[in-house]
Amino acid sequence: MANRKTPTEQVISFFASVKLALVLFITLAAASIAGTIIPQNLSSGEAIQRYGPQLTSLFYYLDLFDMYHSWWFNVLLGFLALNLIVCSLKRFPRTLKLARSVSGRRISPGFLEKQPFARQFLRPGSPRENLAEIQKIVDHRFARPREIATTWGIVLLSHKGAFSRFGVYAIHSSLLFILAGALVGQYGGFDAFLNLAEGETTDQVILQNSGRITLPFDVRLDRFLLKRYPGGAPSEYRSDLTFLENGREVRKASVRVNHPFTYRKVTFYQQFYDSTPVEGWGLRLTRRSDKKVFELQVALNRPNILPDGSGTFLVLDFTENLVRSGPAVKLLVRPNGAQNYAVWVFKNRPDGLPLEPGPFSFQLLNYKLRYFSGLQANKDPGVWLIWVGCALLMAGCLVTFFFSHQKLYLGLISEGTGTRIIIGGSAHRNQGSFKIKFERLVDQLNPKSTEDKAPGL
Amino acid sequence: MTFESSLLLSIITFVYLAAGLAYICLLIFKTEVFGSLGTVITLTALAAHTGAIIWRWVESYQLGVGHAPLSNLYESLIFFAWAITFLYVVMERIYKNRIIGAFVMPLAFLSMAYAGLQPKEIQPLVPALKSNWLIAHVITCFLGYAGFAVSAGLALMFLFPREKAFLRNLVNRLPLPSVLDDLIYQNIAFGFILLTAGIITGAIWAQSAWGAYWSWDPKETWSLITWLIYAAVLHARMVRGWMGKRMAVLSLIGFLSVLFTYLGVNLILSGLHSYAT
Repeated sequence: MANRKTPTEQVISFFASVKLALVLFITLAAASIAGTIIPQNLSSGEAIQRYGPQLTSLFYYLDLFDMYHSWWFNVLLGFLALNLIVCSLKRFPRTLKLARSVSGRRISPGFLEKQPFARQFLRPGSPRENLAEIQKIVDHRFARPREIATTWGIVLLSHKGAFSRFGVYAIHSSLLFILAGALVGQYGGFDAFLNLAEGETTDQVILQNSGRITLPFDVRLDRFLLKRYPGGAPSEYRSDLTFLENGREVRKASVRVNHPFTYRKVTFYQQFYDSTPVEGWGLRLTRRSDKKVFELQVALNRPNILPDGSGTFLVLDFTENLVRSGPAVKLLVRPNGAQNYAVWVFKNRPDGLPLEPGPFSFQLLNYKLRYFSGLQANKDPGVWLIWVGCALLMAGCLVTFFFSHQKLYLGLISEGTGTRIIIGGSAHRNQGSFKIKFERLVDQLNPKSTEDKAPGL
Repeated sequence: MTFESSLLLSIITFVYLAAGLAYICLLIFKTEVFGSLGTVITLTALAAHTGAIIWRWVESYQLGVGHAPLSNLYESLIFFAWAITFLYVVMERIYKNRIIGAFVMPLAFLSMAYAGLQPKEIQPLVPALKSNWLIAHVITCFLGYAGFAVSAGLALMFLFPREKAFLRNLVNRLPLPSVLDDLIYQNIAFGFILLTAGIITGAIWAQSAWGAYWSWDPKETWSLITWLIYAAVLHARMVRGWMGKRMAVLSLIGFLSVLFTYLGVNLILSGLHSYAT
């Protein structure tokens, strides 16, 4: 056959096809669904417990526990990138031609009548007499028209929104920017965290995947601040950091949640915090029988003797805000010759819980905490590509969905003492909104319709 | 019980039910009065709804935890219903067709009714949500979801069994299939732009809060899945010229993905967005 394609053409048309795009969209969507069902980054122990040894080794073979970084997911993204590039390159010349092709050649009255939107009517006066007014109206309502003289009359050509044909290329290239940004980030940056106690200095950060890297500078946590809502829930936390070069203080900065700080291209984000008690706990014990008060300093994880020797107790746990009632410690009380019991002891409840059993009621007096700040330290040289891609993507979507390339052809043909006007129009998208615009223009040009729509209607 | 914004919103839920019923009566009895009634009720409810959202915002400041009422499932469902109604009112204005209300307003009622089952207290914001991007991210996402919801309502209308004998007398009231097809497409396009904006604002926010614009968290991944599905739908239409019934079915499939992204992910999967429950 004469039109059989060469292998190269076949490859090109494969990568340029919308069918491939649709298949890739659906495959990527299906793979992503799988990735939300199969937990990612499971430990091998958890995986075997969940799926059994055989399925687990198959899943490992297919990288299903880290599938968004697997070779086959990257291959899919590679195909998407090729698809975007080849289809855009293949279509671009035609788009360029379509965007420019409002030429006066081959325009006949029949061509005008055959446009998707077409109307005709009569106006008094010769074509020449009508020309200036019509030009003015079309210029005002639509776009500046170009005049062409033909054997059968005067033709006005006008078009606008040709740029909207290029929106799709903005969208396609935006996705390439985003894929490129992700690639640069994956190979040129790192994703790490560090836990610092107040006063600590380090240049080591731990990578999310595994391993650690040494920063070319030191970072010190000077102070950790925690603000709370009246109910006790944390409202904001902040790390005051100092950056040091060769032991010399260079820069001080505060990092809050949602307010990171970048030093030498490494961005520090506040992620979480933790605290551990230092020294001991100040407790007040009140003997119920005679209201005698004892104050004790007790240690974590070591049995303490009750003041009257009637048993021992242990501090099991501590939380800074238990059931929105503030700091509390959990004690395990072991009275001699009676059942052990656990009790939460609050700082903000001096009387103790009313239902607390045993010969003593407890109150937490004081404690000292040492805070740890959990910080992320990331470096991503590809982020700017992502933002360029996002901006292009938004612009491309707006242009593609809200604008269309609209063309208008007007024929002015002498007929008796008047002029026959033939208007043809087309839009390559959004016909609905073009139709409204087209009809308004016709109404303004057609003397008959202005008569019909007399004032008051 | 003191009169609070949440009580007003509970009342508005039933006003939306009334609006939906008025439009359904218009469809069945073909009496224009029901249409006008539906419009009056809808506009009143939308005005009260807008007021109630602002009121809740003010209330949060009175409690000393001031933040936009867009921070949990209750508040997001309330805004979702608002966005659906808003889109419907705009559509009714442009297309002068009230029958659409019979298929769209029940969605606003359902969203409000589901909100009614959620905890309604105004809670203080966790530090991670304290960002100006919260408002931009939630508003864009939910306007997008609303566009997809309206397109699904229209798709149901398109798939309405016009040939069934006992329904035939309802049919001549429905908009022409070509008009419905155009409306389905326009709502999908609107939803797609706003979902794109929602994903981008989410990425910008994630970059400033967690240092990673994309983490493959289940909510993010599902929003991408939804985006891919609608991208496929738009290509099928704009390049391959799919229209009519196929678009209506695709619009419903897309909306199922939206529903899973919005509600299913929080119910079934856990992740970075888990505070939004």
